[in-house]
Amino acid sequence: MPTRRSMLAGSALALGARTAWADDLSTRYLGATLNSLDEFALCGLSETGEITFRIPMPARGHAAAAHPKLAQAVAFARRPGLFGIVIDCTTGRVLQTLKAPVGRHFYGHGAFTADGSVLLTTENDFERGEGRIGLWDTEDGYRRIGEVASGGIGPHEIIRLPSGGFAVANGGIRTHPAMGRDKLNLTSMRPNLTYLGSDFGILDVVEIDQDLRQNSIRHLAVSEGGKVAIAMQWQGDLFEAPPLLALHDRGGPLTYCTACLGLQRKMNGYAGSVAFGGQEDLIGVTSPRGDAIQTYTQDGEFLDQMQAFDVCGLVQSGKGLIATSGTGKVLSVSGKGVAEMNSIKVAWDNHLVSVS
Amino acid sequence: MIRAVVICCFAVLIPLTAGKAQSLNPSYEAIIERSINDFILPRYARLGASADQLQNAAQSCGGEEAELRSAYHAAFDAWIEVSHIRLGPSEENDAAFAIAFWPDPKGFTAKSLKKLIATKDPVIENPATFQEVSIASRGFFALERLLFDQSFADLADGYRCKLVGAITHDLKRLSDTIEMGWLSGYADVLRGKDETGSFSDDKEAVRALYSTLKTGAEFTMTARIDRPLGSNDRPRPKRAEAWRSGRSNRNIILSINALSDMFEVVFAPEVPKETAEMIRSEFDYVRGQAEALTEPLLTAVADPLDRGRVITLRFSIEGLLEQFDGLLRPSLALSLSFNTLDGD
Repeated sequence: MPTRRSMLAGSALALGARTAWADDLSTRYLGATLNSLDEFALCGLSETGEITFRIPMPARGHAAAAHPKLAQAVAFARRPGLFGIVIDCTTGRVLQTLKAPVGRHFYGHGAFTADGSVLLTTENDFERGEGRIGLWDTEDGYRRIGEVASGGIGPHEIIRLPSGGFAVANGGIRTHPAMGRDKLNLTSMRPNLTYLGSDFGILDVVEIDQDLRQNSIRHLAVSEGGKVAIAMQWQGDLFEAPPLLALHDRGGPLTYCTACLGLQRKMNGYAGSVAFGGQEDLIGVTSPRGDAIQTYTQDGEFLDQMQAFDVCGLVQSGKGLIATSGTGKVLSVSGKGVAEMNSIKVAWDNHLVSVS
Repeated sequence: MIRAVVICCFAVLIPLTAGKAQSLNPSYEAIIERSINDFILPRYARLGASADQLQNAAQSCGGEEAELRSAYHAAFDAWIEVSHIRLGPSEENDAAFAIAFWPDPKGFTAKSLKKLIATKDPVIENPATFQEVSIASRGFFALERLLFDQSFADLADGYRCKLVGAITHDLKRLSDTIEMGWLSGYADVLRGKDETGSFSDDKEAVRALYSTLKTGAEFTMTARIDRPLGSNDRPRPKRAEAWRSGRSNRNIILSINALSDMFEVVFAPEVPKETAEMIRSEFDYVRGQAEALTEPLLTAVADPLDRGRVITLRFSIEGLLEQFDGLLRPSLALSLSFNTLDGD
């Protein structure tokens, strides 16, 4: 029996046209998975938590970036990754492989411009120890067209803002591929949130407060109103249990958000993903190391902390948030609590991204 | 020829039996029942009884305090013996943390106690309002300051003893609240009899129980040992747990014994004999290392010879953790956590 996906694939091939996400009404999110046969894949996920497609991947992925218009996604390897794969999600065909230029490696995240014409990737210029944003022309076979400064060291996630500009999480940690994932500057690190304009130039650099400077900014989310949420990973004494979430309105100070000390300590100094909830005054943060999900209001007021084993992926859904875990759970998260939507025999990897 | 056939058979059989070894059918239901009835509930009952005696002994505050101190030790023992069960009722309103606020890298306990004492805050006179006081000035570590730290113990005025009374009363209340939480609902949540519970099936509940065992060993390694060890250049003896009352080594041994008891009572009957034997010998090894540490941790970490022993103890616990993950976890048919790798 032909599945919806194979039908879509068939029609796309027949027309010889690129297909838009809008033609596939069911796929709302993308996430990397691993099944029990140790096979990696990029999967589509519906609003109701069902897998809509599964495209095999050569290695463990980290995050994907979804083209804003076409049903294309770029899947990145885990850092220090040297490749990214552009996939036509309707056919599963690999359209292009992005190779990191000499002297650079990818960090595992990317973002498209609003019109989809340029892909931006976070990269390490590892000889200089400086962060770069690679620029790729999507309309010319994803040709590398240049790079700009990321505004700091160790840029991890980059997201597009409603203004058309971008926010970059400069984690502040210097690494070198020759040293694996070793952290080379923990005593001097100074992470920042950098705003880029739609012309990719640096507009603002917002540094973490001095006493929290060992809090590496890794992941980002933005609200419709342009409020940026940053999720951090603490490199200092875990028992200090610092805030792992901060909120920022451009031009203002960072607002640090935390639960009471006991609950905060359970997060194990590690936030994996952050997202704003749809239709609710809600922000979620996941901690795979603490097996926990925290929720806050947009003003940064703590709401709740829920237990969810090996939870990491988190994305805005129609109603609230959807989270995924390494045990295959797809969870719906709201201000009221967490509920299981589906349980699939795969391990969901670090991140979920929205396709629209 | 026959030999070749036999080998051939083995070649086919090994993957099959290996596959079977992975799905040994541990009875999750039995694990859950034993954890509740034979481990968790009896230990909270003991904590309650010893907290009750501590509360009574607090009445001798200001006079000969030997009995009070010994009641403090007995109740602290009972707490360490169940403290790794960080599930449900112990986590509500930060109850476990209010019982034992430690590690305390920013020195909140001393600061908040000094503030209470300096202002002679009347908040401590009413048990209901005392519950609202910062968790840093409650529990065993606040009590330790009042009973063993000269800068607090010398306070001869009545406020110190009122504070001792309030803390011991609060400890009893916290202990009762956790025990009642288990008896009146959380045990059924773990059993899957409560629809609103947080476990989707028995496997998730067993995973949470296994997690308490693992996290308990990790806590002893990272908080109780690594923190005071510091670096060779800079040992941090005063980061040792409860050093003022001389309990640092004792807490390590009690925690290892509690984890070992939990393994024997709860998990060992459900795993292959060889697995149980290996975990058991690993526990014995750790226990031997802990008992070999004859000097208090407070001085041992800064002494060249004893420091070596502390480091060996630390690595023996790491070895135990490796056996949990490599042997015990698979024999309970629990998957490895996938998203916890550092730095992404």
